[in-house]
Amino acid sequence: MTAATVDPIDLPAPPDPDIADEPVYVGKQTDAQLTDQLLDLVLSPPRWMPYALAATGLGSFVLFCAVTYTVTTGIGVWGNNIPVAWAFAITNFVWWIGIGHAGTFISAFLLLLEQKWRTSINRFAEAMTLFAIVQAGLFPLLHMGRPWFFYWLIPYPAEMRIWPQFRSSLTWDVAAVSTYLTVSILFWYLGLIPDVAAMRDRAKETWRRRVYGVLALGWYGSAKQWQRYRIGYGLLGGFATPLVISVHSVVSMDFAISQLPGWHSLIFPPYFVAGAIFSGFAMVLTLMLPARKLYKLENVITTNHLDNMGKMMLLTGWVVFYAYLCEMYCAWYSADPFEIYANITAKISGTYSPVWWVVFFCNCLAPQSLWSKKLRTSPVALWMVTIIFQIGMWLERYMLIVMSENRDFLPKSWHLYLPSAIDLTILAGTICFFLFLFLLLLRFLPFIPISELKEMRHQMRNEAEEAKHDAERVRKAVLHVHA
Amino acid sequence: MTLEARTREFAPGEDERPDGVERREFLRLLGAGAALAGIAGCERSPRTTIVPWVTQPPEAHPGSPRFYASAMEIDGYAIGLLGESHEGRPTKIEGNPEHPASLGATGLLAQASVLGAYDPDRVRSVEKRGEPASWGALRAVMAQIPDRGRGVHVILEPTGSPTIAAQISRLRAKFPELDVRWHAPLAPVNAWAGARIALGEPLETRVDLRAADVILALDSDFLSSGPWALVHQRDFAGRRTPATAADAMNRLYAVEPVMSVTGAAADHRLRVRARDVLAVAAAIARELAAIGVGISADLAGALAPWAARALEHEKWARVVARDLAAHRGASAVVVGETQPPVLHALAHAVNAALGNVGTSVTYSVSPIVDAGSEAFDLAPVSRALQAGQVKLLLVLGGNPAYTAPADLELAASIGNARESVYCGLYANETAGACVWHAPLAHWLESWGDARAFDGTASIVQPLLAPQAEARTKAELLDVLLGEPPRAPHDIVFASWAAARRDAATLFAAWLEKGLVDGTATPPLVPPPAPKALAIGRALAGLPLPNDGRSLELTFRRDTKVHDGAYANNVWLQELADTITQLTWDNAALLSRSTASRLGIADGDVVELGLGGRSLLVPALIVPGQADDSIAVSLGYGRQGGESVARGIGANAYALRTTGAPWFAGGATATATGRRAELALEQVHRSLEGRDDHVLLHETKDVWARGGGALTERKKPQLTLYEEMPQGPRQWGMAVDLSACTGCGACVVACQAENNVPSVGKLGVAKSRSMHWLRVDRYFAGAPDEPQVLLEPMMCQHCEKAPCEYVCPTNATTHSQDGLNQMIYNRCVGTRFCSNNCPYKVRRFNWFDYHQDQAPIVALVHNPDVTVRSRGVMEKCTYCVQRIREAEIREQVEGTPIVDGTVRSACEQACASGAIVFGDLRDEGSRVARLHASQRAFRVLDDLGTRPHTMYLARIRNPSPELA
Repeated sequence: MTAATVDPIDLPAPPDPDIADEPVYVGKQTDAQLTDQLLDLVLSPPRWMPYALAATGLGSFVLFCAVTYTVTTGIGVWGNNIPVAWAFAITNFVWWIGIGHAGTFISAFLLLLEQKWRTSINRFAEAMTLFAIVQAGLFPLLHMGRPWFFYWLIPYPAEMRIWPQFRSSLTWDVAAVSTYLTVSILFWYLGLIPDVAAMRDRAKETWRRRVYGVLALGWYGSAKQWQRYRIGYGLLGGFATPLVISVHSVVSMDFAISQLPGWHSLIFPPYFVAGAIFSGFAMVLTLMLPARKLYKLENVITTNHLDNMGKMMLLTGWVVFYAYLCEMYCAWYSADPFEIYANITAKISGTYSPVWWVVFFCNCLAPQSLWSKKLRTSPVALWMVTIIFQIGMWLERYMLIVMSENRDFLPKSWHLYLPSAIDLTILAGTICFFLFLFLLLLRFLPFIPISELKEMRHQMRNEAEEAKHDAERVRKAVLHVHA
Repeated sequence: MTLEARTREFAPGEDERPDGVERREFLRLLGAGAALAGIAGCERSPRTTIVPWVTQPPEAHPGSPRFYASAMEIDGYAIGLLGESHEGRPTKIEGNPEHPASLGATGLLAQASVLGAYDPDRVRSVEKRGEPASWGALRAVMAQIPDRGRGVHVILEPTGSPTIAAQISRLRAKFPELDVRWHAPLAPVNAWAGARIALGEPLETRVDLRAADVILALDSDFLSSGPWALVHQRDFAGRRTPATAADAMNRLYAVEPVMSVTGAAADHRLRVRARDVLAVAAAIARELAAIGVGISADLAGALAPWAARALEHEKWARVVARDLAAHRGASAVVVGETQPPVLHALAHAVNAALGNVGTSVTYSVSPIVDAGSEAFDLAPVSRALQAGQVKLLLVLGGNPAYTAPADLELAASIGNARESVYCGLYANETAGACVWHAPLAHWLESWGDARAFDGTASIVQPLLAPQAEARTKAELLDVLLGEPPRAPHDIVFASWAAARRDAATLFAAWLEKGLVDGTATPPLVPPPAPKALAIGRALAGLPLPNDGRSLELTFRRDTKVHDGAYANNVWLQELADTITQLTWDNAALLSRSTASRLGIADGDVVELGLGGRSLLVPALIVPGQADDSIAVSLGYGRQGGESVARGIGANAYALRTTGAPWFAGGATATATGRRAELALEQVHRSLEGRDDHVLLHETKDVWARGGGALTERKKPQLTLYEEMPQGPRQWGMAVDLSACTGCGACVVACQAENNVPSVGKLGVAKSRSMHWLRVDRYFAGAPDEPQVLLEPMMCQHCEKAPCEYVCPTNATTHSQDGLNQMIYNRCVGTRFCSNNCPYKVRRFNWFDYHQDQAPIVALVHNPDVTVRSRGVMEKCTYCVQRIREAEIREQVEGTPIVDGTVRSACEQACASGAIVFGDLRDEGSRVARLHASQRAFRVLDDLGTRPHTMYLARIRNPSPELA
């Protein structure tokens, strides 16, 4: 993308009454200045970057060791038992895949709804989605007793003519997650192409130009390319949108199709999707707020973004809260002693009830703070709330999985679950690995979509001019009438 | 000999691996190794011909197992068994249906003993102070017996073996001053002494539970301990399983300090300290006398001060007495070994007064050599040892240094003997105290003979060649007798040939049948009459305990490791105790109120003190335990070279003395502030009000009135599908909870049959035990006076199995004949099936459990069952290998499968007949009839899983007067 020589645009832009009061872009830069600002983030990285990469890289190595130990020794190195046959691994899986939802939601869903504020944050969110799916994808593999046979869950023409057992939601899971991963990669990569081309054009070192050149797939910004790009991006957006709903719905069926009290529930698909978006937005903010500060991006990620995302979390948080209440009500209404125990008694007063109470605080009470606009627009306060949400959502999955399993039908089976050191290491390791991948993104790719941002700016200027023009016309018409 | 010395890998002086091997040396060793490999390979099959394989019979095919009859002694009493042998390798023990002590069933110890044969900890060669030595040298030591045998002491385990009996009498004749002693910590010396008081002779009391309508058990765990346990279980169950509410049932009253399996089966259980049992018995006897049951006035007078101590239980005693009196001639009073002789004597008097003798109670001469004699007292040996008068001490079997009363200090004084020889399986405490260790042959490797409780003799024949240099006890006694070396078979045969002229012709038939016909000792007719005067005098001579609420300590036979002899058996260690659900440990059992009075919590390490001795043991609060009474089971805290047993639990023998072998007052218990983790198989105690879904139980009266759980339960779930839509046979199971005593034999049988791995204490504590079949235990009612509800739980083989539809790889499917199958090599281990199994009977291989075993242990594996690798699920298969074998036989040989042809391992082991397996399509089959029973129910029926296993509700028969 070549730097355009457009006049500086004065943009405390038009009030956009249906979304926000605040602007989604602040500043008076030229397109070239904006491109420079955003490309500079990658081309001249901050000094702390190598240390951060080394620290998270080390954490990723520890994860690698823990995974190797697990695969070579057996799942027994975890704390799992019978009845709690799924625990940390599946909790982490659901948590990570949930986090992976916000990216696609922001990119695709909001794209279709033509929400302008998505622009500055969508790449960020998409990348986060990808990296979260990478973490999530580890767990279904790892938690198998014999992970080297994972491909038996994939329908392929085996010589024994055995197919996966399609009534099991685990086979649906394989399809749902792999589809989601594929579409997410394509969507993210497609959006990245114009910016990678800009990187190619601006990079100083030859190797960089080569690498970005290959990644840019020969992009030179012709009108034809832009037209095809738009169509492709729109189509993928259309593809990805239903996936936001389907993936976590399918994941929720890993539980819902069973007959375990606490899992066996029809509310799970919408409940899981809402929770996923809730935690996904929280994660976007958790990552974005420090990046915004460190990279001084207040002009492209404005308080308007924070405000909007805060509102999304408030909304989805309420859906989650409603689902909690609904589960309890349904259990009570069913009059089934096992359901009542798992959904009400165990939560309020069972062995794991502290977990439930923390979840209740994190996911039901804490989101109510988002009613305050002051909090929604305060980066520090907002960041702290998102951390609370992350913890709450992780514990919610832990509660759903472990609490339901540890006390099921026969009291004989009742047994506590405690994670082993390896369990904790793997969870911490995936967080490191996630951050490591994220830092790599910050280091090597433009994480604010430059072309889209510039496009949006122009759009907004046009709209502002149109609005001015309209206002003028209205004024004239009124004058005319009065006359 | 120290453990260190035994486990040292290299010769003394060589602390490290020798520095490399020369090429020539290597080739030489390689050649020698290859040549010897062939010889070693032959070692596993018996060297002597054993019957019925005189020559290989034409019907014997490699791959199909053969069964050999043999017998195993427990505390000297034989139980007739069949050993299943695969190509010369015994893998499973079954009961011998012809044998009176087995009736086809087996107990825990017999089931687990096959694993003991392959125990890698067994000593293989003769050792002197832990170093390898030769038989010749040992023989020379043993042959140096002075004239008349002065200073020579032999300690044996009690036995009924005619061969050993003959050898002992020859020994006594040859060396009149040679001292022969019998020692087993659980030998029924109190019962013999009681019989001697009451009847003048140490007779065996046999109780026929078939003829008993009312049973009073005085601290007696007759359903799980003693040589008659299997017979008792069968007969008891026969009177507890009504088809309709109108059917008669027996009634069991139990008085005991510790909840036992028998107490759990009781209709009424009185929780009293061990030393108050006599008082309760006296109160009942006095009530009987008051009603006019013929208790002599002398005796009644002597009972008065005792009965006065049980005033608080007066009503209970009166009801029991009335019930007993109402069933004269059809009741039984049974006393446990833990109670003093005088109570045994009193019971004889009460039984006689009730007219039970001759009907439900009979007497016979004990099959045990020297039963009831002074030779069961080890004190003289201990004195001789301490005085340094012992020239040769020979310990044949057992482990007296560990099990002898602590006050004898046998372990410390054995070193005073000039020569000491221990012949045993393991390098245990006694082996450590003795100079010489001669490896003993396991019973599966031995020729010998043994007698059952009723005197029936069996020939013990080996299924396996003895390991390395192992010898039988008879061979060692032969050495003492100065006999020229004879093959073990010849010793036994010669002894029988000397006793019976027809031995030569009938020996093979005896081997085949597993017993010698006509050797049972008949009940004494007329039965001896109890001497009321002597009993009264004995009672009057006994000081009344006058220690108020002082803490009592009781020692219990451990249901799993017995007296400690089986402590190295992983299967038994891993088995959960029926009542406490404790594995891999013993504990100080105490009641909740006692614990709170002493400030002790579950899992606290407690210091128990008794008579100046002390012991550290973790506390475990158990419902049903008598207040102010702490129970510790024997057999733990081992210090020898048994790697499994070593260091597990606490050694209660350290507190057990000659004067108080079973219980004593004046004990102390203080919390040390330390905690210990106890591995409980089941943590939760209550059914949480889920009785009607999980475990139906009802009293007979309520059932008869047409109310209660049995009649009011919901209708079976409706379904649109056909009940059993598939093949011609539909396998199913019925478990009668009224019959099940929870003895656990089925669990071990299942483990042996199906190559079920053990997971160790940590594994159990993490709830990862692998048992395909377990016995769930719940406590109902008041925490201190609980009703124990037991429920064997295994895969229910659901027709609409929740595990099947969630498996992503088709690794668990439904067969045409109604089995829920598990395909191990298709399983990837997602464990979704376990999550969705409401019965939680699926087991996951968290590690490669079989990989950790010593190679020799793999010999115990059943070749018909896959050994599972890590990462796969497993569960009860209804013993599918047995089904398929029968089907193949049906196809090949035309042997039709009828009801009873296919028996699951659990069914076969169960003495109570609580488990029945068969074809549900066959309307005449036992299982089909049981499924149609009024008592039949499905566990968690509401879920619509349609299990092929149905349970029959537990019915109790409490006295209306105590309701």
